Amino acid sequence: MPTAVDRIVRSRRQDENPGKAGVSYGVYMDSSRDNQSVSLCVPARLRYLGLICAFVESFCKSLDRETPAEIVEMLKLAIDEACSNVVRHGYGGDCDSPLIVDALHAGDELIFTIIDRARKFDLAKAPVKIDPTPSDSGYGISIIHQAVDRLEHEWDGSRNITRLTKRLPQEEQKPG
Amino acid sequence: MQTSVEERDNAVIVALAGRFDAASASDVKKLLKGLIADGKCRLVLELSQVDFLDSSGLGVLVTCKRLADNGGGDLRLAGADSRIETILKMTRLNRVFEIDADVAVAISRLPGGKT
Repeated sequence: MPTAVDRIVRSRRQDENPGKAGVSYGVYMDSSRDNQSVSLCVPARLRYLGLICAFVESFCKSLDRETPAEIVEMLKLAIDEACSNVVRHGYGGDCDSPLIVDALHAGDELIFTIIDRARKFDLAKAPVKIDPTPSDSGYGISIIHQAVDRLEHEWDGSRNITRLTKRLPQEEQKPG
Repeated sequence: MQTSVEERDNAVIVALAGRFDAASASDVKKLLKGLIADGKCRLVLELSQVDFLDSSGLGVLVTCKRLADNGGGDLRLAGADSRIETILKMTRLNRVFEIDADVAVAISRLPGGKT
C-alpha cells in the first residue's frame, strides 16, 4: 500500500516544482544509495512544520521493519524542534529559502539530516535549558538531546548540516 | 490549529485542536493574553484534541500560567494525552503543570476569583 511519501513523490517530482529563487521544493528519493533514503525540501516557513512531521512519520512507516510508535514521536519532536530553530533563529523568520530534511535508514539507525542555508549555527553555544525555573524559552535543544541518541552539526562553508540519529531496537527473530 | 472558547462555572475553557507548535503558538498566546487582560484569569486549556506540542507551545503555557497566577487565577491543563505528558516530563514542567483528567476536574481545582 503506498505511503503518503510515495504519493507525494509521484505527484511532486523535484524537477516539476521549481520554487522561488531557483529552489526546487518537493520530495525526492536517492536511488544511488544502498539504503532507503528520501528527502523533503520545503520553504523555510513555520507552517511547514506539520508537513515535516508527517514526512518523518510516513518515512518511518514505509520502512521494511516496524518502528515503535514512541520512537516515531521522539523523532517528530526532535526534527520539529530543529527545523523550528532553523526558521526562527537561523533565517530570522519565515522565508522562501530551502529547508531540507533527508531521511535515511541504515542498519539499526534512523538518520535525519537537516540542511539549511541560514547563518552559521554554533551548537556548542546554543542555549540549553537545565535550571529548574520554568521559562518561556530555551527548551528546544534539551528536548532534541533527550529525543535522539546523537545530535551532530557541521558548517560546510555555506550550509548548516544537522544530523539527528536514533537507534532502533533489535528486531525479534522470527521463528523458522 | 482550531480554538474554541466557552465560559462555564466561573471559568473560561479554551479548547485547542491540532498542532500546538511554533506555527500556531503566537495565535494561542494572543488569545490567552487577551482573555487574561479582560480579567478572565481562571482558565482551563482542554487539550484532548491536540496531537502535537513543542517547545514553542510550552513557552506559551508557561507565560500564560504566570499571567493568570498574577491575576489571581490559574491556568490548568485538561485531557492531555501521554505525548503531552512526556514532553512536560522531558522539560521538568510536569512540576508546574498538573494534567487533570477532564475539564470538570480542572475547574474544581481552580482557585476562587473573578473570571
